[in-house]
Amino acid sequence: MEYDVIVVGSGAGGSAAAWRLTKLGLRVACFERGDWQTPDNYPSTGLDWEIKKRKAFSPNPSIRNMKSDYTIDTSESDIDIANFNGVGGATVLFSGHFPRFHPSDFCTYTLDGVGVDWPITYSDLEPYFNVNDKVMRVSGLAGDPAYPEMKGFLPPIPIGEYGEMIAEGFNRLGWHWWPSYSAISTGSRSDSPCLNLGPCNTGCPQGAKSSTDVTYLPDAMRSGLEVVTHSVVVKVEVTSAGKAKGIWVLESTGNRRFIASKVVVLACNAIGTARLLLASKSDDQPQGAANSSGLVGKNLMLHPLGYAEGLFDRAIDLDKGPQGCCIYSHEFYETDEERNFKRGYTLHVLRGGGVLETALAGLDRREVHWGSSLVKDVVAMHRRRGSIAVICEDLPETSNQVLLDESRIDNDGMPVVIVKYRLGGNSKAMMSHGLTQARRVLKVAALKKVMAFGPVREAGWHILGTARMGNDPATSVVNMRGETHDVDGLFIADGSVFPTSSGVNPASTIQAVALYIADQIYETHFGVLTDGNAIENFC
Amino acid sequence: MQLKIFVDSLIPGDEALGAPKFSAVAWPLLQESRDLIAHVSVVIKEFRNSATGCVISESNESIESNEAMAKSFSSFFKEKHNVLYVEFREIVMGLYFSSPAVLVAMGEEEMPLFPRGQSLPTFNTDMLESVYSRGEIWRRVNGG
Ligand code: SF4
Repeated sequence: MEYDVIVVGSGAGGSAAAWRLTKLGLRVACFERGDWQTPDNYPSTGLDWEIKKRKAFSPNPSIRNMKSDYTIDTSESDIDIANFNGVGGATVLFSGHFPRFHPSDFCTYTLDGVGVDWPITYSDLEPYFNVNDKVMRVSGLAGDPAYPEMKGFLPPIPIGEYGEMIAEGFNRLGWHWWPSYSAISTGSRSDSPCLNLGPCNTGCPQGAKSSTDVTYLPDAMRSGLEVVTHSVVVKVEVTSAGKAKGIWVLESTGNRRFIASKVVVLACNAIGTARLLLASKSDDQPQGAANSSGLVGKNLMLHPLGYAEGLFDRAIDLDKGPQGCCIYSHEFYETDEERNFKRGYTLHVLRGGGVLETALAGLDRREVHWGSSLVKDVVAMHRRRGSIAVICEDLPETSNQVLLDESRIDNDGMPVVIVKYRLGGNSKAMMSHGLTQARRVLKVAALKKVMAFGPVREAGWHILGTARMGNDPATSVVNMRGETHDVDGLFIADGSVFPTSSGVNPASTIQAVALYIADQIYETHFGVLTDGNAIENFC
Repeated sequence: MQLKIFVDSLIPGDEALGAPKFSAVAWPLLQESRDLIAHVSVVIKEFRNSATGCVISESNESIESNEAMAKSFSSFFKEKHNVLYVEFREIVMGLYFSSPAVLVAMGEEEMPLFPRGQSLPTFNTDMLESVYSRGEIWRRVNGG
């Protein structure tokens, strides 16, 4: 039996691509190395949610240590990798903050002489962004002066007294701010509206946060998508004529099975996808599949992240509402020739954590002490620490890369993945500028004891690059349709194909690109899009 | 038993707030971390044999409320065995601050976040007036 399309990975990109291809009438299977989640077990269903958040639901695979996790050696990286290996991928643990890339993000070389231009534009992706916003139930507020016109959002997430106090700081400085675009269902008409629990980044038991296991996948399964769990894809099989033929899967029984498909789509994130390509060696492709350019794994981008924090003089509501969705600013998003760096960053206002986080952070900062004052100290500090994250655009550099260590074998029987990543000079200068501006906002908003630090090590959520999209096979891995230059029928539909990283959380754009690539797959291998099935008329 | 005394000296609770000491709410749960207990017990022995540990533990009858010992032990632990200290801290603080009795004493809810939920007022867009009035700030490019 042969599938029309096999999608490897059920995260942001894989789910969106599988959904679109299934809706176009193709026979599609999505292979996932992990399992479906049980929302009843998500941390916020218990009082011990902070313990689970820091262990079993940690975004760091080496702390979480799930059976479905694979080893990622980050000893030569400034930033640790965050991911999730289960149905829904990293969307299970993402915060839901869901901004789009800006039009300028697609042509940084032309505009600013850095990075590289994408072969596609914001306009090409706009209809896909619009459909994605609907399926992912995006809430927000139309009229944002930092973006071209966008509309059709669910009501914005409430920003609370905390958001208002920080917003007041932005207003005093005369800077841009806006309520977060959030992949979170809100409003009275929603089946599962957000309950303002807080820790969306441990999984949402209410089903309000739009991880793809509650959005794209169930809908696609109703249309015939097969989701195959506990299946580790260890190799992409390519014919000697350079055509994708199918995949080799390591099943939970330990057996290896070949599954045939006309088209193979990789969407395992920029580390997992590069790992699989590099491991798919053959006599014809000794450097790995689709790697004649030698660029598979290169140009890894991770969005260096910094934090500025300060204390309110009293407890406020900063533990209510989605932790990662409050307000954001794009005051410093674009290049300013007066500054010592190109491109820019997001100032992303974050809400606070729970009692345990207050206690542990307080001990580190000597605001909380062991002994008889411990509980009083924690009560005094709780709900007082406001923070702003600085999300820096990371420029592509070939020295930042994912590679395989053939001398070590992981649980999948594959060579261990190594991440080599160092912050470039542009990112360092940008980080320093961003931390200074974030501190200013907090001070103007009347927070005390303001401090800032970055890059934060535990922050490698936004994994991009490693299989760049471009027109020239010598300088890119996939073409403008997302198909690898070297292997006919082998596509990539995740953040790996991003030539540049932008300065925003990438999930929205990963999904828009995946939907766009799904249409390209259909048109190049299966049929013609008509008015009836074009994306504009689809949702 | 020594470990219990040491942990209680670090987390003695708070009588005024009605917060119990560590062993009253989380001692049985800590027993599940066998390796940690074994390693920390070695550190306690080391501390008792150190100059400060000797003096402090011998000069006090009521060891459980000994503030000075809590402070010196945590400094000793942190300095000599930092990795283990961080793990220990994480576990005892986690167990203690997840206990319903402790959370209630602190004025927190006794029910888990879900399905309880929390309410926030609807967002007031008036605050955005100055942002609107400044006009468009996104960078236009050729070709969209
Ligand atoms: S805050 Fe909303 S979206 Fe986040 S976990 Fe709670 S209900 Fe889900």
